Amino acid sequence: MSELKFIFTGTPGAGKTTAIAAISDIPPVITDTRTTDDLADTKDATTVAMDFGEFTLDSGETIRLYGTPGQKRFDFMWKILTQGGLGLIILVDNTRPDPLRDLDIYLDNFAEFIEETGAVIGVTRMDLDDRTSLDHYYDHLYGKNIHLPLFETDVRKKDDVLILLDSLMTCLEYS
Amino acid sequence: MATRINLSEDARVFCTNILQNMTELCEDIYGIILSSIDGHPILEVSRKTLSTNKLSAMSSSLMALGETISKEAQQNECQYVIVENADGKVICLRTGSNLTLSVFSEQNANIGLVLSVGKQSSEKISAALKHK
Repeated sequence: MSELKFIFTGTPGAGKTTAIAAISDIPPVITDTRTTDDLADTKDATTVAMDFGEFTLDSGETIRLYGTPGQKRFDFMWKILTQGGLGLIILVDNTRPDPLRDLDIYLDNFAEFIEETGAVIGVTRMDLDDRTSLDHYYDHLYGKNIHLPLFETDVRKKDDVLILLDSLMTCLEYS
Repeated sequence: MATRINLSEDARVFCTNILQNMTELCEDIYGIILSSIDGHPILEVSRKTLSTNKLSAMSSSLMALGETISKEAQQNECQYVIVENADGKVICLRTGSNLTLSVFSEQNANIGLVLSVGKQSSEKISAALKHK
């Protein structure tokens, strides 16, 4: 592998920036900008270009971590950031009105990239809203004939984020 | 989802006049978009059909990257970003704390003139919106 590059994507507020900050060995690069739309009810700032961090493996190899903007109008950045990427981490905020529909947006928009590489799903904020369980997610994915690793994730916890990365790398290694 | 930045009718007319005046001061400017800092279009004056929604979002990303690069280089407050292309030029200018002004010009445009017209207009809009 010439470059170890992984991309975090998912709904606004799902925790992409926090996840990268949780595991990055360097101060993460963020491009947060003040929100001026309805998102301002839940977030003062949102990523409009990218997040960036680095994580060094025990082998000494450095993984580059990129975070996409969550909002669909920035989907041009999704295409730019996935170039040369090895895999995708999709974060879904379980407190949003329809998290399964949110998940579909990212599965559909990154379908080609996921097909070429791999992906893992982290469901965040389940402690605040458990109306949609992991079983619901599994059923939903199986219904679409999609088989991806799925975890409940607290993006503030380094170990939780590392499990996502480990799982993704394991999948890629054996695929 | 739309921006909550709502210009009053007076402010809208004032800003539209400024944008139109820009195209008169520099005839190589063919399009101007005033958008929110997080990438929602607010006003547009253009002789060509522009994808206003996309360009507003892209300008937001560009300005955020400019700001990020300036901080990484131990500098501060990115004021504008110039994109010089084979057949035209784009300048994105920070306008006050909540807006971005994106100026699109032809290949032959004098970049200095486009920049000065853009900067002056950006400052006028910023100053006016503080009081309207």
